Amino acid sequence: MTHQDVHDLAPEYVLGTLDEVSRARVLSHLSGCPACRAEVASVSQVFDAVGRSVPVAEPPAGLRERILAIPANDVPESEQASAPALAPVKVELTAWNLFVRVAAAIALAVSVWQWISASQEVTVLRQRIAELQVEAGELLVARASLEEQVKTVTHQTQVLRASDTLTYSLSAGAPAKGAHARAFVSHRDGMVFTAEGLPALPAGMVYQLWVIVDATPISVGVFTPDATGRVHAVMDTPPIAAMPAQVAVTLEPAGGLPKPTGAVYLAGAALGNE
Amino acid sequence: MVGGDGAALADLYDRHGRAVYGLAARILGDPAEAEDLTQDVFTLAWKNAARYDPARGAVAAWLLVTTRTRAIDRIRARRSRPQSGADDDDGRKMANIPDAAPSVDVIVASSQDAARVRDALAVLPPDQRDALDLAYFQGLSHSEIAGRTGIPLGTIKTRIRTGLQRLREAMSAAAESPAGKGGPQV
Repeated sequence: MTHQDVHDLAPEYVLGTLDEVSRARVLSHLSGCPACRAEVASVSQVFDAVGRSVPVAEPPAGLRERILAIPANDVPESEQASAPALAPVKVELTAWNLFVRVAAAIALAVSVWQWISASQEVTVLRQRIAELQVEAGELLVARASLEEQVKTVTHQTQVLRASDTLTYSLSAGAPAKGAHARAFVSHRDGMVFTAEGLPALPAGMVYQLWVIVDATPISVGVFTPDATGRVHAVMDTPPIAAMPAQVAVTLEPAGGLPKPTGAVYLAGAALGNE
Repeated sequence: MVGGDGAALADLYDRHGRAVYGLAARILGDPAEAEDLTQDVFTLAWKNAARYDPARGAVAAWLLVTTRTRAIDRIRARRSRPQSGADDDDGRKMANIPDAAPSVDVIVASSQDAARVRDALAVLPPDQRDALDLAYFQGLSHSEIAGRTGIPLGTIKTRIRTGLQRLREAMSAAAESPAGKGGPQV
């Protein structure tokens, strides 16, 4: 706050109409600025004179008696507190005004300072909460991902441990030289499919997995291998009347088709049932 | 009034009662409320008796500052109540308050600059006087004055600052020539 700001606010400071924060700022400036203290004291003197300039008026006659009866009805606080009588404090008019106002203002400034500190603390805590919310969000995502993995692993374990599971060994067709795959199929618990060495997909194409039951290919789903040509998936077994004779992979347009149209990349029968 | 003896309280009231009551009536615009407030202020003075020395001018200033503060508190409380209607008839109610008996030996000695201020107030441009009046006697903040009068805040600030400056000049003129009459034109 500049000297000019304090000069501008001096009338409202003296008359007590500043908001708490402005008042605390003025006070803080005054504590280190004798020139502005003198300005405030001068404004205060002028307003005091405005108060004295009001014509005196004769109060109703009964008032004097009531005021003289105050001591009978009321004990001074200094006696109530049974404190030793204070020596009379001799202060000049402006010094006294300034003392009363500064003392009140210091108390006010302390409370404002506490309020400001509290708001800063609140800001810090809010930031911490936001950070924790982000962390909590990340943890939720991580947990969801782990749950998904656990579910997959559990499903996979179920498939592999199921009493009816058959293992299919798939070998590469001409377009997928060097690729190989295995499929584990349980009628009840689902399928696990794992493949390696699959060629990268042409644009707009996907691999589609089939089970062949009674010489009829039934779609299990489509998949895309990773950059190294691997794929590992766990899925439900489509409704089938009997265990498949073969499992096969063909290349199909994106989204797959009801019946295979493309080249066979992988195919094979259940181990022991060839 | 150390120790708060009754004689000192009587003396204090006889010296300053009319000024306190006059200011209370000027701000509150109601004789009964002014009487009530005057009693409050002297009760407070009695309770704080040990804290000041009435022989000094400080006590008069303390009484008037306290009177104004408490009176403004009352009119603020009055404003925040639903219906008021008391704001516009100050003049009528003021007419009911009798003037003080003249030639009492009180106040006069300390009121040289007050008289100068009264004279200076009388010749202030009305817009400056009105702004000071609303700030001091109505206890309105600068922005409340702007809101009430519809005049821009900056203009209100300028009027109050300029008005104060003129009053200050009038007071220092009084200090330089304490016996002077009808000092420099402002």
